[in-house]
Parts: sequence; C-alpha cells; structure tokens
Amino acid sequence: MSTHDTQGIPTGDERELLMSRVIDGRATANDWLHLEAIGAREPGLWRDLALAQRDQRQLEAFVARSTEIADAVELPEAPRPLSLQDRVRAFAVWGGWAVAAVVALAVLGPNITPGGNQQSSGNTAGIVPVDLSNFRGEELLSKALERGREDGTVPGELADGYLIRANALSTGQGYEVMYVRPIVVKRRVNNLLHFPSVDEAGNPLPQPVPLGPAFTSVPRRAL
Amino acid sequence: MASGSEERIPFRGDRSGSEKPADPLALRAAWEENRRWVAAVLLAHKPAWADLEDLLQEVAATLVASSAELRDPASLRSWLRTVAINAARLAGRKGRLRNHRSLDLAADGSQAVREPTDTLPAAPAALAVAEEASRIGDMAMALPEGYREPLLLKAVQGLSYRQIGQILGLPETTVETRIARARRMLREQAQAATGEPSGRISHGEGSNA
Repeated sequence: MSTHDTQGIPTGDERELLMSRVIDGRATANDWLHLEAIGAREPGLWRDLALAQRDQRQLEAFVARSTEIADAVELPEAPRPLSLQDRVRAFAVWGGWAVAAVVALAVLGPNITPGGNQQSSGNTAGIVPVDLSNFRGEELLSKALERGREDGTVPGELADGYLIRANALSTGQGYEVMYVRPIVVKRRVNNLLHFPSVDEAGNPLPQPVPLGPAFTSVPRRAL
Repeated sequence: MASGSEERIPFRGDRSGSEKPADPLALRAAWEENRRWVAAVLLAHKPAWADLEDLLQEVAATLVASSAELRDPASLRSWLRTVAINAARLAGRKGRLRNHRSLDLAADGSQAVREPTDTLPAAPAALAVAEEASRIGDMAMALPEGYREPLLLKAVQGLSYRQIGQILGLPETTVETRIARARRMLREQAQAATGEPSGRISHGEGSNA
C-alpha cells in the first residue's frame, strides 16, 4: 500500500484504507487524526465516507439475505459401513436368485430324473410334472449347473467360496460348514441398476451400472 | 457465525494418524460455524443461474465424505473454500440450467425474478431497502473476482480480517487493501449509476496488492 505523494498528501489507497477502517470500526486514534487532516483539505471525504458506510450496510443486507439458505443446509449422514448383517442380507438376495434359477430349471427344463436320464415326453405343452421330493437340494443344484453350462446361462463358478460358519460335528469327526458358493450366471435383463447411495430420506437412489467387466479376474473354475 | 473456532474442531477421534472417522458432532458444529461464509464464497464464484442450496449441499457432502482425511483443523477454512470454488466452477462447466431461486441474481445486471419470501405484502420502506441492497449486491457481483470475494466475505457477519485471510490464503494486510479498493469501486459504481458526483479530489492510485 502506498502512503503519501510528494506533497505529503495521502494517496488514493491510503485514503480508502482509512475510510475502510472507520467502516469496520477498527480505526485507531492516529487513523482518525490522519483522516481529519485529509478532510480539512478535502471536504468531499466525509460524503464519500457516509456513502461507503451506506454501501457496506446494504451489502451486508444483500449477503445476509442471499446466504440465509445456508442455515437450512445440514450435513448429510455419513455412509454407514456394511455390517455383517447387511452382508448376509446381500448374499440372501443373490442366494434367492440362485434358488429361483434352480427351481425354474428343475421345473421348466428338460425332464430330469434322479439318474439324470431325460424322460420321453408326450406332453404337448412341454411341461412334465416332476416329483421334486425325490431330489436332494444338492442334486437339483448340480443338475441346474449342468444344464446352465450347456445352455450358457451358467458360464462358471468361482473357486473360492465365502465361509460363513464352521462347527465341529458332534461325532467328533469332521465339520459342518456354511458357506456361500459363488456361481457365475448370465442373464439378459431390460434394465441394469445399482443403488450406491441414498437420498436425504434414506431411500436408495438407482443409478445405471457401468458397462464392461466388473472384475479383473475371470472365474477360476469352469464347470 | 462463530469466530476463532478453528482450535476446537477435533474432527478425528484422535491424532494418532489412524484413519478414524470424524466425530460427527464436531463435524456438524464446524459446518454450522462455517456454512454462511461458504455460501458467500459460492455466491462470489457460482454462475448466476446455479442454485446456491444445491452447491452448498455438494460442499456439505464432500466435507462428510472427506472428513477422515482432514488432519489439520486449522486448514479447514482454506479447504472448504477450495471445495466451494470447485463446486461452483464445476456447475459452470456442466452448464446445468437450474431453477432460479428468488435470491439468485443475474450476473449480467438484468433483474432476476424475485419471489416474495412470504405471502404478506412488504412495506414500501422495507421493499425500497431490499431493492437498494439488491442493487448494491448486483454491483458487487460485477467486481473483479479478486476484489469481489473478500468484499462479500467481509459482509458476512462475524468474519474478521484474520479469518478472511485464512480462508483466502492471503496476508491480512492484502485482504484489507483489497477490501478498501473494492469499496471504492463499489462506491464509484453506485455514484455513476445514480449520477451522483464523487466527493473525492483526484489522487494518485496505489499499486496492486
């Protein structure tokens, strides 16, 4: 900031700085002395000071009014890390898909017998009643996967599952394990959405899933 | 608006360097203390049509998302300003046309449509004051950015020169000089607009701060 010109008269910046300090209520006694000296030579200073004070009050009113909306803007909730319960629920959703696929294949697929032979069908609708009670779940799943491999709807299965629980058997020999078996399935869908965030009310916000490979590795175990 | 509060904003659970999430209460308090001036920064940088509330929400969301990374509470103000400016500029780049809010003012000086804040008719005197404030506000918004932002920040109640310097990353003396010059520009614009003569005898101009 420049101070004085060669004739000892404060330059424009210093004049404005002194006025600015008065407006902000932080002018020192020395500042006032200086200002009065300028005012004695330049009476227009007092008018400028009055106008500048008026402008400042109006600007404060403008800013206060323009930014008052800020008081209504609260911080959003921090995203909550997924709990074990959430993860199990997520698995359950996809597990539901797997079960549904198995049942659909068992009912609507080719006629399946426990021995794996296809029955000859004279049914004109192509649907033959199958007694599912004769099948164990594992057998049905195995058949569904086999069928999926053939028609391309089950391209593979991940080698590593996700262990949920392991207990020693009461017999003392062996363990009972509960795990997620990741089966890769292929489907054609009309819409592909995921829900990475929620709105202010906590409702999931759907967004299109980016197209292309989602994982860098391929299934390590083909059926 | 609180002042001098940067010393008591422990965002993180401790200072051991671990990536613990921020203390939600401290974070909320910090936001409430700073959101008014953040709005002023947005006002200084956003396109006229961009919705101030939307931009504030973006800044708030960024603060929450990045809170675990905020290691130095003293740098919060400059960080918030950077986030606010980025949000305002991004809005400009996206060119999204949002609904105009009543308080958004057109940067080109044209009169934006202003909705009444309530259903009661305003008293003529109050209306005149509000219109005059808007007129000065329009002029302030037309100032060069380097002067506009500190001037608007000084108009936020409770902000000191030291705090403005922290926000802008400038020495206090530079802030003071810019505000003084901005006030002169504003006064001269207002006088020119109303045809009032300046009360000032011409003096030499100072150097740029």
